[in-house]
Amino acid sequence: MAKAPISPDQYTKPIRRILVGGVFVFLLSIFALWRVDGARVEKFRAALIDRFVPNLEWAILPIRSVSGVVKNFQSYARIYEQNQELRRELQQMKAWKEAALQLELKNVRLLDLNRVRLDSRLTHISGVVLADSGSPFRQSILLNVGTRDGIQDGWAAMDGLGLVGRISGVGTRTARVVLLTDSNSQIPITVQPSGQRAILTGDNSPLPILAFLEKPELVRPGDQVFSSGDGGVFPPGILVGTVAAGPDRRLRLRLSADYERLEFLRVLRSYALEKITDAGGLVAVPQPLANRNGVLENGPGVGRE
Amino acid sequence: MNRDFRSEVWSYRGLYIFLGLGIIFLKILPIPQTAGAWPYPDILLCLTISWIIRRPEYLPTLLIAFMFLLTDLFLMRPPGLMAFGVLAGTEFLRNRIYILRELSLIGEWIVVSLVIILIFALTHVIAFLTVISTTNFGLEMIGGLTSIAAYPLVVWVSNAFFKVHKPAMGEVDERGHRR
Repeated sequence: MAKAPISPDQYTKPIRRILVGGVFVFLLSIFALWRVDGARVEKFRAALIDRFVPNLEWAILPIRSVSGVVKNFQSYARIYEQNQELRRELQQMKAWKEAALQLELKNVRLLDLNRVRLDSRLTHISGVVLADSGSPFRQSILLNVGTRDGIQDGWAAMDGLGLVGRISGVGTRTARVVLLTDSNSQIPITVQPSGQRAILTGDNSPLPILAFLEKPELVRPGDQVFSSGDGGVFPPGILVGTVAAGPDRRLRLRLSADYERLEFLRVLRSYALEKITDAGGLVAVPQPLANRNGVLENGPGVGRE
Repeated sequence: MNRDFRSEVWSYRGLYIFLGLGIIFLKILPIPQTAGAWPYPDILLCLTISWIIRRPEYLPTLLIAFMFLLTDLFLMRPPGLMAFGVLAGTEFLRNRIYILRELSLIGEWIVVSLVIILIFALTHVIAFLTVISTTNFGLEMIGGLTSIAAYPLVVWVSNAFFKVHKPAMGEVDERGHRR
């Protein structure tokens, strides 16, 4: 009897199956490597993005300006309402401007009285936003400044109004900013005027959560929130936003920074704070040591003469 | 004839890489997509699945793995995870290619919807088991649903502009096998 014709598939199929299995194992092992040793894979990712994305700047910039034109055009549609709104706001602003001028004068006088030395090392580097992460789940953006501009991991990034995020991942020419809305973002903050400390935790919603508040009853919607600098990584005293009560009755934060149009960011240079380790030496009136040993051994107190 | 077939396959592979890179580029453009907004459809996924069903020889396994690994890297997703899920889905479809060809567009759409949902569910389960801070499951599923909604459109575009359609009756490849 005639046999069924042998098709070449019969030989190639098992080999193909092994190769495909190999690809599956390869992908899973990359994922496992990322899970176990995230820092190294993230470094590779930063290098890859650093290599390719800045070369696309010629294409990114015109497309972004076109999208800006479209957005502006949409806003022309309701120009009358906007005009009215702006007039009202202008009235309010004039009142505020008076108040601000008076406060500034007062502030100058007080600073002069106090001889406060502001931290001159809090300078900044400005960068242009090159790209974002392309998904609403991972909130991060790419800046066109990197290690060659002296950027370091952990520095704060803000737009003109408030804190935007934290540098996480630096390449030679690019740096990634994890936005405060990202679920991996956690920042120590203080709520003014009550001085409560908390952690600002992103949860992929536009309004991040205030977590670990000691006395939530002291915090009201509308309170101002600043970065606190606890932990020594993040510079203190940067405006973050105002407290808002979420629909789920959790305290959330309305960010001051304009997340809708992040184009230029300034990265604040911050350096590790100098630590004060010892409690200070014994303060005593300088005296010849020879005849006073007995008194000093009596106790740790200041020499009582 | 022989040469024609091979150059055709390679030009479609090149087109796939070009389209994939273009889609990544459009996605990372800094047009702000605020947190909590509805995710856009995954056009590359739709394109890959529609080509797999029509012309599996255009998309070898390695090419799909490479493209989605690159997407994972550029879109700040866990590297390899989505690539694994997509590859599982496309290999599943590739092994059932002769059944899928017989289906009408509606039937194909239903099968593809199931596969897309399974891909998203699989990656989500893996992410959950490995304790990655998983994002909102519901939103991720909405991302899957928008991809499903976009699928017929992608099929139409790739049919109309790139001439990717199911092989006609009696079409043979370079070695004379049925395609």
